[in-house]
Amino acid sequence: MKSCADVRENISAYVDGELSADEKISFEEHINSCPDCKKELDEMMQIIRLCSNMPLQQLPEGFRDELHEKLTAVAARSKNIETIGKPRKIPHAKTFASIAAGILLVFIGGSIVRYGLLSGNLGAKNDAGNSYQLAEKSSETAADSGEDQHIAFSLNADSTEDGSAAAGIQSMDNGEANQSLTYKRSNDNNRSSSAKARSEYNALGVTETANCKSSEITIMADEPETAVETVTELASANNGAMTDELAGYSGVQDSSEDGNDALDGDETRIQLQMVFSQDDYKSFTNAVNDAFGAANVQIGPFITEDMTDKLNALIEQTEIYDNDIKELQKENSESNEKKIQKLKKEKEEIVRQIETIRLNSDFVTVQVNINER
Amino acid sequence: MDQNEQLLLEKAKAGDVAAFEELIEAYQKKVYNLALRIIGNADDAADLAQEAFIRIFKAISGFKEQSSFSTWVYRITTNVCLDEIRRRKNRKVISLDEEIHVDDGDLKRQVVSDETGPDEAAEREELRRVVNEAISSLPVEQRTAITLRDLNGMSYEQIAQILNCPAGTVKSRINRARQALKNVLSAKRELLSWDYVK
Repeated sequence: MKSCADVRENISAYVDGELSADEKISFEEHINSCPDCKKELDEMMQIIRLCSNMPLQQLPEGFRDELHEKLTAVAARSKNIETIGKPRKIPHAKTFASIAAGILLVFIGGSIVRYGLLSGNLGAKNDAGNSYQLAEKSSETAADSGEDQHIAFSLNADSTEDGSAAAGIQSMDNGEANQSLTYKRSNDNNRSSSAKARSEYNALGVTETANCKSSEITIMADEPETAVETVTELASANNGAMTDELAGYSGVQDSSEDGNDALDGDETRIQLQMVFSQDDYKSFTNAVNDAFGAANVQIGPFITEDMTDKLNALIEQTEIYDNDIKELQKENSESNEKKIQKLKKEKEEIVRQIETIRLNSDFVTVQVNINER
Repeated sequence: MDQNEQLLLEKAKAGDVAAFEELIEAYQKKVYNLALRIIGNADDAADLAQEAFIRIFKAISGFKEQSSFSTWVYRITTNVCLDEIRRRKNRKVISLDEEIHVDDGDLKRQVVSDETGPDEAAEREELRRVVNEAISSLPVEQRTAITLRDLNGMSYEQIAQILNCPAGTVKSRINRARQALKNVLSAKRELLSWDYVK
């Protein structure tokens, strides 16, 4: 620390006690031999004292009460979200007894792990339907990199909040020549690049929204096996995608949860699970109505759950993880290596949850239960 | 973090609102004042401070306790405020140079407890107004850094974590901020009879 300029750069750090022992010694040596810098130091100290003694403003009236209300509401909502976030239980068998034998389609917003395509024509990259509320400049930024163009594209397509998923997908169909893509967990490159783009949006102050959609449809049919084929065909014709996870449930015997139901084992219930874009979901229900007759189809309420807060809280969490990991990496000690791995694993789990919400936000998830009369 | 705080933290992580409120009691005023310094007006500061606490509440189950709770709290608060500023810049709607609101009631109480005369109180208030104005005229990254330092008592390393930048950057931001304040305030030297500043 030789020049006056160097010394003056360090005045704040000196006063704040942020210089190393060596730096401090050479700083003081200079100050003691340089009246100009000494004067500068004194003046700066006055400013620093002045600023650190500024009184705090009181909290506005009603601040605590207002916050309390908001927190209570969030706590109540997050309980609901936790319930909704998990796949719903298959309705109790008694429900089925009251319905003439048929097919029950349960649309759920659940934790879908993997999608396999029925039609191969879902036509959207996994990002296509995510809806963003955009600050003006973000789409320019997104367009900078070719890799991220599909995101920029869906950003442009998403002008409305609801039904944006469908809008994104349809636009993709036109714009990207039916480039089909199966969402797979192994699709890591794609995911990480889009995750990067997303975090850039977050840095720009973009709030991502998420709505998980659920509904319930009941269809009456005489022959379940034939009905499965019909439903599968209709789903395929409407760009539905079968989820791998539940495909294996086909023909599973229903056992109600408490096991004391008279119908136990008396019915074969076939379950299918599939996903649709929102628009396709509508045409699919129309097609089901036509095929089985409206009298044989019951369509339950279409429920949209706002997962925005949950999603953003999870995103916030990953940022915290990143920060913690970075901190540990700085120290570069062996014992930290394990901690870092552990944190990375935990972060991956959160990222998986985020992807699940995004995915569920993009699509309507359908579970099909078929009962034999 | 003492034992009681640790216990509150565990409860808050499990979604206990009352425990969370007790945990953040000591931070409410500081978080509000941090927001006030960054955003520049009382109404927005109250909204943003509440938004910050809600985010903290939502994310608290994932808080790993590797950084201190205070660093974490101020990091989220800062992010909420800076996000809002970026959003506004993009929309180009609201001026960020609004004068910082001075709470008269607070000042009066302070004056009474200090047992100072009316003239001195007026000068003191004027001084505060001038300093607040000077601070709010700084670029946002500078006023954020010195606020975290002077008002929230964060170390440079903690500020670096909060702002996600190197500690060297924090050091130069803080020094530049203070030099700028010195230049602005020395023009009003008559106010700066340092006796008022303890």
